Amino acid sequence: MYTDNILKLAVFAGKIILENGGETYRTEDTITRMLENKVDIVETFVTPTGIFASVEVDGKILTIVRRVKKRIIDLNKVALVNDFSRRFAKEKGNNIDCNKYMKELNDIDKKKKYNYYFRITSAGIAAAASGMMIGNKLHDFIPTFITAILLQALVAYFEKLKFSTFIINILGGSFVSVFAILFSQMGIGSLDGIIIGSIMTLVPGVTLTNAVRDAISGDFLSGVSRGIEAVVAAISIAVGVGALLKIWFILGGIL
Amino acid sequence: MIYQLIFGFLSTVGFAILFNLPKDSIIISGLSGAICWAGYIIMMYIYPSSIAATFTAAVFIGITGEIFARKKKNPSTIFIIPGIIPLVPGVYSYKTILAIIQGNYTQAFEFSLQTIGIALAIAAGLIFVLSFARIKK
Repeated sequence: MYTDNILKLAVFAGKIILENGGETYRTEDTITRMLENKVDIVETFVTPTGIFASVEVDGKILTIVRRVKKRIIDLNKVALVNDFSRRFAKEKGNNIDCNKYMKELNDIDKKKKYNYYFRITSAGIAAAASGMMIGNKLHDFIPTFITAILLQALVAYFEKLKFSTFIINILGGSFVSVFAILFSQMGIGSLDGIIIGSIMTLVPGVTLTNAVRDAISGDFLSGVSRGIEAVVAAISIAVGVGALLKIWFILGGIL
Repeated sequence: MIYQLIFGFLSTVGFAILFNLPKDSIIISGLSGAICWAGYIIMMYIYPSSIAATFTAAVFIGITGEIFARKKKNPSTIFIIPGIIPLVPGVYSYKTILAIIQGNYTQAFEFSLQTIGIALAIAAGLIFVLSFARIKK
């Protein structure tokens, strides 16, 4: 019974890390670290979509399989669970208060993100500033800022409706194109600048980074599948932006 | 140059808030973003190739990320992810789409090669630093 509880606890910690944008190898490390001084053998196998963990105590084998379907980015939770697992790893013996630790993990899992308006405003700043970094002119700053704020509000709304990332990226890309065309026709900012800046909040940067980190640590299965995820996201953004621009050109619009 | 560094700082901080970094890590990740962008600008000045510059910037962000991660006892991903996003080749992928829908395939090929080159440069830069970081542990 005791082993059941600590195994559940460790896999739950791993699940929080994997769901919130942690790498695959970090999930495996976390589960192993939490259990290795409490059981005889611990083996884990983690892919971006599922966790398999098995422990052996006194010849008895216990196994857990957990599917992971949600995939968002909340690095605060990754940091908190990382800290939590290091504290848990220091505990020894057979009388750890599992309920207390489980409650702490539940609290971490339920933690909210920053305030909604604060987040969409910072998305605007991020997009406008990174647009400026890659060669936008100063008059692109304000329209990019507005477009990116609206885009982030739209994306947040679609995420609440549980749309797939593919659809969100296509709709987001076309939304950006519409606003870029509107602004540039009104003479505020340039079409290129606004689109380049605004799509920065959609690009799959986290997936790309995690794909690389997984591949380095020898986890090629995860590396490849996350790499494909990044490619699909990039293609869907391109479809959204490209389709709208093409329609605009057919209707006789100019750059 | 100073303006560019301020924008590097601002955009990294923006992404940091968007990805919900812990409060005490936001400013630090902004700093590492600015340092990484300084690396990009210096490399562009020495040898004007966006692929080489992106590689340098990725190396810089990897190194600062690892250093800050050791200091703050947080996973290094937290500092690396927000800084990497502005490096992602948005400009070239946009130009590729534009060239394709205008039927200009030679140009599209050229731009898509640039896009892939930059994406690989980010990966290579990160691999370079992180493999060493893993040895030191």
